[in-house]
Amino acid sequence: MLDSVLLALIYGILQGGAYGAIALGLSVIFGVTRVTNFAHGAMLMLSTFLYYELFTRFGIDPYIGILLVTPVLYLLGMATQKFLITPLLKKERGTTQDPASLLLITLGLGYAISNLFMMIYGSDYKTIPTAASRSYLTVEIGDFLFTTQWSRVIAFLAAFIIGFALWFIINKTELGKKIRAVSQNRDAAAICGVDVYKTYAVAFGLGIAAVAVAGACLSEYYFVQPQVGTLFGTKSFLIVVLGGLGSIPGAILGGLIFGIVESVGAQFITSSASSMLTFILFMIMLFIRPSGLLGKGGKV
Amino acid sequence: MNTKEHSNFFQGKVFAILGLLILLIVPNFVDTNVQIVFILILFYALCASCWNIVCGFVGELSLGHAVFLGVGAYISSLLLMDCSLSPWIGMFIAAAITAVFGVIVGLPCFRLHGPYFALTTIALGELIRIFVENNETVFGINLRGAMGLVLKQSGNQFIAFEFANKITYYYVLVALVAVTILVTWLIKNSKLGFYLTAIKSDPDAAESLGIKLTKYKLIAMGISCFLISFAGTFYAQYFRYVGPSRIFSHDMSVQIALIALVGGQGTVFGPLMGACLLVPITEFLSEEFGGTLPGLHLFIYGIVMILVVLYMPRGIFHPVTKLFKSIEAKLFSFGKKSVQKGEK
Repeated sequence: MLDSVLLALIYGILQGGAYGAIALGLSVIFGVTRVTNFAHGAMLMLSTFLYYELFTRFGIDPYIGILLVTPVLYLLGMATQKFLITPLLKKERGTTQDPASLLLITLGLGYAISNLFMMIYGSDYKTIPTAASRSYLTVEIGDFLFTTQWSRVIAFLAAFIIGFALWFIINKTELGKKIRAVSQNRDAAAICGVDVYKTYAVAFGLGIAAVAVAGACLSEYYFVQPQVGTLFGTKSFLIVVLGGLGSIPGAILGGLIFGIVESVGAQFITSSASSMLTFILFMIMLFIRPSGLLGKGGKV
Repeated sequence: MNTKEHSNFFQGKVFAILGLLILLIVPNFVDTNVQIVFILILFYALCASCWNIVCGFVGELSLGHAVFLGVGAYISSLLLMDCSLSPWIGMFIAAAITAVFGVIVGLPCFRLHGPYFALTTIALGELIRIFVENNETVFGINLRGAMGLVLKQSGNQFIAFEFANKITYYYVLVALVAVTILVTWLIKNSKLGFYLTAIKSDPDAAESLGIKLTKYKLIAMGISCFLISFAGTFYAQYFRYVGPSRIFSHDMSVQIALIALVGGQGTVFGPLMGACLLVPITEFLSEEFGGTLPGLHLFIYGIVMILVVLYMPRGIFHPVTKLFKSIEAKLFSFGKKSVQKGEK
């Protein structure tokens, strides 16, 4: 019993890393632009389909495909900000606009993207049979043999790589200085000569690029299907709120907690019911500390 | 508007009355397939109007309203199946329980705002859906898990809320929608409505004036849940089946919210107008392309959502009424004889 829980724990940590990797982009976008991007899951799904096409048509492994897909998704993120969100933000000035509109527009975008892919590809489950998904890592733990795909391990590590890259860009570069300035005070940054909307677009692009990298890792072991986005999109939100909206370590920590709760919980109740635990955890967290585990305090 | 000499009750309302008459009379003379579309229009109008009471007036975005629809449907159906209680009585019991449930849920949720509130309602919806799908029995009540509730067909019985022809269902729905719209109108023109509007435009200012935020939000929530539960009962009785993966789904919640938002949140007739616009489109699309292009109607929903937020953030209600009023004014200024032309 204890051993199986231990195994579940390890699986949970690996899966949680992948969750964290996906949630990172969302957290960055919220931290900078204050936009809750409900299209996040759809963009993840979109990237996995691009990897799928690259693999089936040209035989390009998703890990290499990152070099091609990430710039595309970066541009897509920038375009989303430029054509959908910036017009709303500009309209917001001076008038009391419905704060729900930002939320709705991304929700609509997510719906449009995921159902567009539903129309093109149908609801069949596809997999990308790459080398990493077919080679296994085996570790002996006590009496048990722990076996997992290498691609899962890579996805776990990717969370830290993406997290570090984002942290580095935001905290150590000139661009990051602008991003931080804008996220702290939009108007003050504008006075200092920062092009606010351009910086928003860059930040949005960065967040989407991050999810494209996570998408590559995910597509190496998970199936590719239009509804995948909804599943991971919702989870990312819960994770990001749990860890603290806008916090990079928070996203990874939240992801790990989610993975562990889901995986260990499945040892005691059915696996679909164990995802209920994560929802409950999320709601309790919101009512106790809405700013999340590592988020900055303040009114929600 | 009513400054002209002939100003009376009908001034500026000709097209609205015409539209309502179409909704009332036309379903009698069309075949069953079109009647089904009319029923769906009013069903979604009903749900969206209920959503509008809490979200349109309070200004928080609930993306989990399908939960209350589902709870209403489940309670009245279970009462019918297990206790053989007529749905006409069951729907009031269901409505009362749903209202209490809504208030209990609302109590913690209304402490949150904006995206946090929306996320919590999404999480709640998913939580309830997974719970019902995975549990056969709860406290000795047979929920039948993911199978859903299948209501027996017993033929044309008024007492069992079961009718042989669609048109009777339709008029039941007309009555429900009329009640909901009346309630919305009453709220809008009552103290409660003013409180809610104040809360929506500036919660802090409203609170400093002595308006108890949570209290009035919860009252609105209770009314909304009470009414949407009727829609749930209707859903169960009309389709004779309640499936948790549909009635509790995120898609359902989003559809309800979208129809109200497109129609015009915070307006009395907006949700009805939104349903009249969106439901026929989506029904037509899923009928025509459902087999070859799955998801087309949801794709259109997404696009419509984006366009509405960008270009008509207050919904279509005000632009459309303005348009019709100007058409009407033109028609009247050219003399009475051209009135017939306005009918479409």
